[in-house]
Amino acid sequence: MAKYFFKRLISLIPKLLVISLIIFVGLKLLPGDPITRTISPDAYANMSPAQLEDLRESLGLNDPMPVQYLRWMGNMLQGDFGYSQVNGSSIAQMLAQRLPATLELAGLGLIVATIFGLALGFLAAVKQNSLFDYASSFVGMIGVSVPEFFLGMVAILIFAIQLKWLPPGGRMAPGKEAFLDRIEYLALPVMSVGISYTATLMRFTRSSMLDVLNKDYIKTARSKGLSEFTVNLKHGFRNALIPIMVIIVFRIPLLVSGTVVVESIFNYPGMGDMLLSAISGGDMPVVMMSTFIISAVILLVSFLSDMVTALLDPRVHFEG
Amino acid sequence: MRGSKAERAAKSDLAKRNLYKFMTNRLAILGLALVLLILFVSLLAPVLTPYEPNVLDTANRYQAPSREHLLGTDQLGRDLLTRLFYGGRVSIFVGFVSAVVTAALGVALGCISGYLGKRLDSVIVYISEIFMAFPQMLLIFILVGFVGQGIGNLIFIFALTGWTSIYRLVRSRIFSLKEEPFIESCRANGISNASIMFRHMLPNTIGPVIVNVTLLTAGYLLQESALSFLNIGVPTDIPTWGNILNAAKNLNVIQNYPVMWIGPGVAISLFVLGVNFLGDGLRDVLDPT
Amino acid sequence: MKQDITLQAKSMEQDTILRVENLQTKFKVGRKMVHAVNDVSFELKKGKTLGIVGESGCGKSVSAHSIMQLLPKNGNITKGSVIYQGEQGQLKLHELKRNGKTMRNLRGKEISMIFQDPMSSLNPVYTVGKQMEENLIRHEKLTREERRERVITMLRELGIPDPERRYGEYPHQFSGGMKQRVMIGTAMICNPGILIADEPTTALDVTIQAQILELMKEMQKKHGTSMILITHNMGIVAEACDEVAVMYLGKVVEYGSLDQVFENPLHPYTKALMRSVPVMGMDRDKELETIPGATPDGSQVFTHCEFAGRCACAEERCWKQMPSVRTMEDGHRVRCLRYEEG
Repeated sequence: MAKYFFKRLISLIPKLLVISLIIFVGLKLLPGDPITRTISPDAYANMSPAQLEDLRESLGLNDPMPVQYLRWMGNMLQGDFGYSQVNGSSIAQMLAQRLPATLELAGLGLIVATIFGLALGFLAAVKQNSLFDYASSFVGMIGVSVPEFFLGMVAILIFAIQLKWLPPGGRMAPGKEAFLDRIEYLALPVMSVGISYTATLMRFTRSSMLDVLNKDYIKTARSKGLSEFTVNLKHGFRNALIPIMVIIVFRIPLLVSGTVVVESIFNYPGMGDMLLSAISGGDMPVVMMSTFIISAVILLVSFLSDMVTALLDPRVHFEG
Repeated sequence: MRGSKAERAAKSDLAKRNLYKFMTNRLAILGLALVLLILFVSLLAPVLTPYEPNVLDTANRYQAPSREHLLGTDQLGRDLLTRLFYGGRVSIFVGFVSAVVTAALGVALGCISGYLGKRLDSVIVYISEIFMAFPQMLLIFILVGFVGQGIGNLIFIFALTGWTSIYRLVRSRIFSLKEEPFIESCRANGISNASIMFRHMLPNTIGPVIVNVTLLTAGYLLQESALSFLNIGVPTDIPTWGNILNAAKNLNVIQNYPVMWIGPGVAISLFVLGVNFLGDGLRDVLDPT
Repeated sequence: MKQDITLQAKSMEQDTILRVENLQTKFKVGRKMVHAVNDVSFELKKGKTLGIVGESGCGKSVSAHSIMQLLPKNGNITKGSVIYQGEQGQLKLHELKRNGKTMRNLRGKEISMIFQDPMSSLNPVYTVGKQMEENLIRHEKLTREERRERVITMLRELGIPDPERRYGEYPHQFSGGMKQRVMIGTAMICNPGILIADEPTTALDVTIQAQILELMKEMQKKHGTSMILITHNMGIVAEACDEVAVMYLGKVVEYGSLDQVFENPLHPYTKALMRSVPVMGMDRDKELETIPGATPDGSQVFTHCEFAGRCACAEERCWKQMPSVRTMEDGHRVRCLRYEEG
């Protein structure tokens, strides 16, 4: 198991490198003076062309590309992500402000949706061909088909405007920053982010469960006199989870995309909002660095889920 | 060509059985009906409505639904129902064409990878893994930043970022087909590689690809409308369902003019629902695994 | 029909542990009802082995599953009875709720079952030891250590080398034959009165088949278990059974002791089956016979003998009349018009 763990961990590195290389090349391809992306704009404004040239030399912008790449990576490891082309603020600072909010929204969406998706899919499979099964299939189909942002708007209209139960947007009320106080702000966005994920997961869980319930070892479990609950959960669900883990990972990028859109409806101050204004303002360094960070987070999550899969399925880590 | 009559009979028998299977799937038929209805209305837009989608009528802004304007007018006085019809044309076009281009790219790469194999295969697989590590939406954001907005650009970007799923499908299908006895017997009989590829293997992957094109159409339509909704998809002067919704992106409109955004939202949802039902039905018939 | 009534009237004999009478099991497939088992009767004697033999699709497996109520959701016992003579008295198994407490208390404890494919009969995500223990956890009150001890003893009894290590290993680390040994051990660990083995050797290599059969016989002798052995292989029947029920299309067509059926087969189907199997010492130049045709579809409804279409000695009346069971003087039973008067 430890061997498998390290093997997977090490396999992340080349992927991260390739992604960083793509981002690096992308940044180099951007039009404009690259020096503006390495020093703050105030400093830039106070310098003469000769000073700038010196700086360029000393910053190594005239060095060969591989050297620049390594330095760029080194800076990043020290927390220096460069500067925004538009307002000159440090990208690292911008990310530090925005990333936690997005991770909170996407993470909660993921957790809530996973719980509901697995539970509903499990029930639908166990009660196959029942009214519950049909109803949940139908609702699931709708959940996959309705776009998140439309759902978010409907949710605002009903729960925030008509019923006035929940706030229509934002992340927290002034002065009330505790998680419990923020829950009412998170409820609608989390629901909008998670619904299509829930529906997808539910459908997969159902079919994976049905698949497993047809296996011979389920009959073996029944022939031991185990209760239906034990048979379904311990022998059925436990095995059904293995292929579902792949779907959970595979779908995370889509969840992130959904989060970006949902943030924009609920005026939620996360990465989505920042990204959108960066795109419309042509602030590509911010867009690309955000993408890099989000991709890195997704790689990490997929690594974690690989580990969970290995824990669930003894056949995986014995292969080496 | 002896036995071709029996062959054809067997084929048409299979087709008949598949058609029957499809027809008895009530949801698939419902899906097909929904898709056809929406397609029909969109294509016949110029006949069905007397208004132009982009002509401003500032005297009649924010009109409630009435006999003249069945869904009312938007913030610039344009007839909403008209915009909905015309919007469907662009949204469906972008979704479908992107899906077809994506599938073409995925199938081509999948065939190369699956049949020519070895080193080229591992390179393409690696590239696809890198692509899959990026959230597609963010990749699209970057590309929109580079190439700019526009229908053509959007289709290009969708295909460039979305080929991995069909590629993987075709590749794994070809890999498993290679092990099938009938392909081995082709090889034993000295049939050329190209002929094995195009006459024996490709036809066996076509069913799942068709199913995927259907589902991709729905997926791209959703993405296009999300991008347009965020103001970075199709340029705002072209009506699409997402662009109509984009105009409603503030609390005032959400609260006071629900018709403005519920119409296109329902249109997107119904179309995607229809396509999904249709895709599921097709899957039962074409991809019975 | 008369014979059936006399059978029912007979009280359960002392040495009978399971009695199945006129069992009928139907499956709902789409809107159609398919008879998988149409009229099956047999008795299992204490400590003896009953072989149920027939082609694939004849309903032998379904009969076995019906006894334990392990039928798929769309299958139901629609007629007849399954009576089990347990230590606590008689139980009507066919009346029990499919997954009710009484049924579940019997499964694995008093009646156990082994399935055809050992490859897929073990859950891939749990260790072999844990899966064997499940029976003990469910049916006996033991400490963790005692359970482990019982399982390891059983593994040793099964001839599995290095049982302490094997206890903690996963099914994919076992070969097919070893897995089937584990399945036998799991089924036997609570010392059940009845063991139902559904084609236990079919999925195994021929060399392993004999070992497994030998092991089952050994275990049976040691624990005094009564066994129902389902197979399509006449050789296995000859090797391991005391009594034989030959099934064709959901019905028992011939039933008797091993000697009765093998020395003096009555039904044309049994005769054909015997001729289609190679026997030690048989004439090398003699070709093995095949039974012409295929088993008819189970949804077909017959008004005449089901075997008539494939029978070498079918007469005109075989196409008009449904045969009923006739019991010979020595208790040998057959369902064939040729043994009925008139």
